[in-house]
Amino acid sequence: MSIPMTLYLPIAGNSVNILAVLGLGGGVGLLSGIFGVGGGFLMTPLLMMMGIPATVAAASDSNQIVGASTSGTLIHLRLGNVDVKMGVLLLIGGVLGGTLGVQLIKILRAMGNADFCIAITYVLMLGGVGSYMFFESLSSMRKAKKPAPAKAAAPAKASGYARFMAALPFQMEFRRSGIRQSALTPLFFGGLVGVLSAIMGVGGGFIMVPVMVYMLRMPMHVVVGTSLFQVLFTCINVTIMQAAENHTVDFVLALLLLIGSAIGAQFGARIGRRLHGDQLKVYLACIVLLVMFKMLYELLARPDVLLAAIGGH
Amino acid sequence: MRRPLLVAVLTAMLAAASGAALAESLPPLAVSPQAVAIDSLYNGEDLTVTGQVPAGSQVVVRLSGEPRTFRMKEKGRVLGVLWMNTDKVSFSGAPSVFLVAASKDAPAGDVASLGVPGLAKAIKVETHDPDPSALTAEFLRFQKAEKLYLENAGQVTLGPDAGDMRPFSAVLRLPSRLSPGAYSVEVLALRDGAVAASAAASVNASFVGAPAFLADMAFGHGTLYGVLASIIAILGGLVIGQIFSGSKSGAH
Repeated sequence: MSIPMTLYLPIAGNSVNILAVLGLGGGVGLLSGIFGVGGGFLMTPLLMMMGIPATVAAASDSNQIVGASTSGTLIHLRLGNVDVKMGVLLLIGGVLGGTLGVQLIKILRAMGNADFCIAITYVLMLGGVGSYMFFESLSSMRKAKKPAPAKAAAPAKASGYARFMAALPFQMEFRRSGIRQSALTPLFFGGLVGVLSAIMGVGGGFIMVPVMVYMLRMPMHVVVGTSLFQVLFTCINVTIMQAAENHTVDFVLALLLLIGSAIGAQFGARIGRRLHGDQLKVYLACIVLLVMFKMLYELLARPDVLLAAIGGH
Repeated sequence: MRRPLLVAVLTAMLAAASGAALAESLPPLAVSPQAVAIDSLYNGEDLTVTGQVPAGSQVVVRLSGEPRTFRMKEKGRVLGVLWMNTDKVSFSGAPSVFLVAASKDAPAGDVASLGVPGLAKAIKVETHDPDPSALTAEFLRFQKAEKLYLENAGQVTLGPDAGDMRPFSAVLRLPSRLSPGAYSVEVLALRDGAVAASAAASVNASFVGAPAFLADMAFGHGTLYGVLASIIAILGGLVIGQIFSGSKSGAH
């Protein structure tokens, strides 16, 4: 008798190869451990290629991220890379923003142009964030090699935005990040990412990370740990909502992905620690740009089949 | 019981679509297994259909799931360059699954009209599009790409003529992507370019074991299921995290 290699998933309504799902989880978990992003933008399309419906793929992936980010947050907590205070403020902002975003998408849907707005926002934002991060970290890597001329430019650059931030009320100390900031800033940016991720239907990790780096000026290593901490709670919320309202969470699929990704995330967190902050940023920028090009290609190339199942985004 | 009614409706519908309303009925079919159990290890299954058809005829075997309405979005060009989901469109009366197999010498034209292309007549399209038939063709392509509609879904073997009948045996490969429900199996005997006789049987697919338990939980107690799924995921993440930090602690 041979060991069965496939497993039937009752919610997805299909059977999958166990090893393929474990491997997929491992690969995405590795990325999520290194960069602090959920990896949903990679996982969902790959699961769909295995014959899992889009809605089930996305919801089960959220369930999986709950486990993977628990494991990732744990190791980053031990390494001292989680700014809990910042994370909680971002989370509060995110929940408020997410609620607003869901209402906003309803209005857009009623007006009829929702899909168009979503796709354009997506491509522009990914393109903007990706290229900014890419060139910024490349130039700071060059500056690190030649430290002398960098100092002259720095004070002039910082003035406008930094002075505005310092003038805001409710200033407080974020010891883990080593910064002093108004409590309003993380609330505002958390809310902004919440609105965007509700509209786009993604976890928002790869929008949140650049926001923490450039808008909140947090050090890259703390950004990754704090992002994972925040992603954990966002995905618990999504899992419960999807299970209650749409019945699209396949727990067996999530568990298989989880075993792969939690192990991958452990190695990822260790690899991330060995990389320099600017290197991390360049690699993440490349991934963000890749996703942008993939979306752009999908928008420009004629699809194989001119129909789409409702439920996916 | 809804099943006999369903089979009758389906048979009538499909027979009408293929212009076989006058065909006589065949002796009863033997279908094995009569019920498909979808357990954790289910990964598609062979369904064997045997019976008798009139001597000299060819055989087409079809398996179809309950007809349902598929709500989808049409993809079109926006601003002349961008492909996006545009209008809503719905297809009703389309079977959830549709498998066709034919004996080797069955005329290709007849097999096509009894197979996936022939479904076009039975499917109703609701759309603003001026050309619904192109949309139906697109829908059939979509279902084929999803492997829910399959031509050449198995093998049909014919025996030699024995008197005025000949035996046949068909093996259909059920897809791994199968939902619980009633499925209708039809055998059509082709002679002189028309359906000379037909017969139908029903096969029921249902969840057993772990899939039954999980589906019950997910659909019956959604919130509890979501909370439990989250808690188990957190515990799983913690356990794996512990294992790794324990085994690697010496390295730091």
